[in-house]
Formats: sequence, structure tokens, C-alpha cells
Amino acid sequence: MDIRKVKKLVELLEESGIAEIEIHEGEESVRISRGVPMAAPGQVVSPQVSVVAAPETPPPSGAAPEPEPELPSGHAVNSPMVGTFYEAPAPGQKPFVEVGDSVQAGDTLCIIEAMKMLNQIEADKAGTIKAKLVDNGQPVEYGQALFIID
Amino acid sequence: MALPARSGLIKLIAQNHKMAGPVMALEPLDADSIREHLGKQGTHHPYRIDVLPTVTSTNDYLAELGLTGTGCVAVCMAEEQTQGKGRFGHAWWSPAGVNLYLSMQWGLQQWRTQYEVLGLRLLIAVAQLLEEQGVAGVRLKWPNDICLAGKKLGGVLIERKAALAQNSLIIGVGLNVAMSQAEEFQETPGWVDLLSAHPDWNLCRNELAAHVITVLTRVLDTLDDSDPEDLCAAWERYDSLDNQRVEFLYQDRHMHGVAQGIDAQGRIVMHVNGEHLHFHSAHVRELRS
Repeated sequence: MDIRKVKKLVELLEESGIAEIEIHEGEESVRISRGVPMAAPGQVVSPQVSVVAAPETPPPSGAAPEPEPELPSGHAVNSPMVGTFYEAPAPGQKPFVEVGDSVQAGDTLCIIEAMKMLNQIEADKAGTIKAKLVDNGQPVEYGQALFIID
Repeated sequence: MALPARSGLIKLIAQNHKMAGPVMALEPLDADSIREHLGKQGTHHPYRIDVLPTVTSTNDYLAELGLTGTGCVAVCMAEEQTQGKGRFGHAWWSPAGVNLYLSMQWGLQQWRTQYEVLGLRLLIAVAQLLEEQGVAGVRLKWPNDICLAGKKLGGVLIERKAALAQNSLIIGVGLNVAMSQAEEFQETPGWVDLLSAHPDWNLCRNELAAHVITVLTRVLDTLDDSDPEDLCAAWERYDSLDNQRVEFLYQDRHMHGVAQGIDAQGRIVMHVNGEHLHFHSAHVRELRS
């Protein structure tokens, strides 16, 4: 989608007082929302354009001013790096784990990719996957919680 | 033809040579020969070198071997990969006996932020190595391709086990040496090998493999002391996308812009409608006018 079109949409949204707008164009879609807490923590709000990847100078981890969203209780597995979250070894394949699966320490939970370095993230504790906090293909920040193991 | 036919596989390839020149380049891989070349190059880590006729993927082989904390650096090479890995989820075409498929496992004491740009540093080092061997016009395409005349010559893929005691990196390097000599070779748009670009290429694969191992070891050994500011300038020298109009895919969305090198964290910088955007992950394609 043309970035100018996205800018237009942001302007429209700001003028209108609408909270969220989602546009589909063929196979592409973009959702713009303002001030609405999104599923992925660590993102900037108001107005939010999910097309844009990263700010020019990324804030150091934890410097984001917005309040931490509440996590389900349990043991959090955090991302050791900034990157893209992949739930499966390759597109179209079965995810490494689903919510409700029991895992052993050392089981692979996901892959975080950046600059084509594939970081296999493993469970550091045995238990049951209580929550998966990031969607496939989404960017993650350093230290961001990925899974909750109970 | 004076090719030492150590296996039926190589013999078959030798019989099917389309030209007599590349015999040296196609010398079968041999761990002892690689060790000898490593010695000559002054590289003396305690390597364990496994040379296999065929394997699914040299990276997977090392992951399954699971050698950590043994004090040796494990290296795996194969004449052929049946499930060679390229970009995330993509195959790396790996015909038998003609290229270099090499993986090396490197144990980590602890994760450091410098490791995030390791892949880019390795690419730069391999580009320098190829230049030293007389290959002109080597370019790098962010984030993991080695190119020659706009075509893919090789690549680097790093996999890391993040947790527990198995804290190690597995670094895979694929270099197309002479795949145009493979029996089943069909001209593939966008791919190139050293021999078709340099018909007089005669560095044997064992010596080339030793050079690659030496280069990987040197980069890994010095990574902790490397200066992040050097990275951008070193990359710029080889950047195939610099100031090119590109189409890129990020989070399933297509955008157009002008590529403007990388930042100190290794992210690609895109100029899009007056703004500079930095991406740690994106599929980038050059737009040809």
C-alpha cells in the first residue's frame, strides 16, 4: 500500500474522532488506531500506523512511556533481542507450540529473526503454555514477553 | 582427466565435465586436505571437521550433533545438501560435488549485542576473501546474500540456540563454485557461480573451504572488540542496494523506497516519502528500470 495513502488515512482518522479504521485493498490491509491499546506491547500509540517498522532512533528497552500491559500470571519467556517473531520453523508449517501444550525445558518455542539470524527460543522451564503473547510475523522488542509458562 | 575419483559421485561429475579447466576447483572435499590448508593459513583452533557425501543440511547436522562445551569448533561440509536452507523457509539449491556448503558451530559464553550484526560482518569478510582471491565486483545484498553481477553467488545463514547450556551459534555458508558443471544444471536466472564468472578459477574447494573457516574464525574471535561504527562504512563498499530504488516487503506489506545503506545496528535504512525508516527484517527487491 502506498505510504501516502496511509498518511492520508492517518489524517482522516485524526480529523474524524474515529478510534480505529481498517482498510482492505486486494490482498493488502492496514489497520490504524489511536490511543487504543494493541495486543503487542512496546508499540507507539496515537495514531498508530502498523506499516512503519521502527523509529529512527529506537528507545532503549524499557524506555517506552506507555504503561506495561498486564501479563497473565506465570513464568514469562522474554525475547533476548529485537526481531521478528515466527511461531513455526517455516511458513506453512505447524507452530512449535500452541496454547495448552506441555513443554519441557529446552523445547523450542519460536524463532526470532533479525538480519537473517534465526534465534531459536527455548523453554527455560517445564510446564504448560498458558499464553502466546505475540502473533506470527510481528516485530518484538528486547525483553518483550513472548510466552507464559505455568 | 586427473581428477582423483574418490567416490562414484565425483567420478560421475568428472565424466560429465563440459570443460577440462575446472578440475582443480572440483577436487573432492577432504578433511585432511582442509586441515593442511588451515595449517598453511596459520589457523590453529582445535577443529572437528566432518565431510559428508550427502546431508539434509549442514546446519541441521551440527545442531543434531549437539557438541557444546567440548572446546572444539565443529565444522561440517557436504558434497550435497538435500534440504539446503536459504532465506527463512526457502531452499538453497545444493547440487552434488560442485559447490561449498559449510557450517561451523561456535560456542558462546554469553550473548552480546555485537552478535546481532555477526551475519553482516561475516558477509563483508567473505567478500574481502573473494576479492583477495581475484574475484572482482563482489557485492552484498542485505541481509545475507553475496552477489556477482547482480546474481546470487552465495549466502550466510546463522542459527542460534538461545537458552540453557546449549548456547551456540551455527553459521552456514553456501558458495556457488562450479554448479554450472553439475550434470543436472539448468541455467537459473539470478544465480551465478565462480567458475562461470571466472573461467580460469582454479582454487580447489578444499583450499577455499579452509579460507572460509579461517575468515569465520577471525571474525568470531574479534567480534567482541569490533567497532560498530566501522560496520556501516565497510558495508557501504560492497552494498549492492546503495541508493537503488527498491520494493520491499515488511510484515506482509509492500512498500517502495530508496535503500540507503545500514545503521550501526545492521538494520537497512529506507528512504520512503521523505522519511528514513530502519528495518531489522524485510524482503528487499531491487527495481530495475
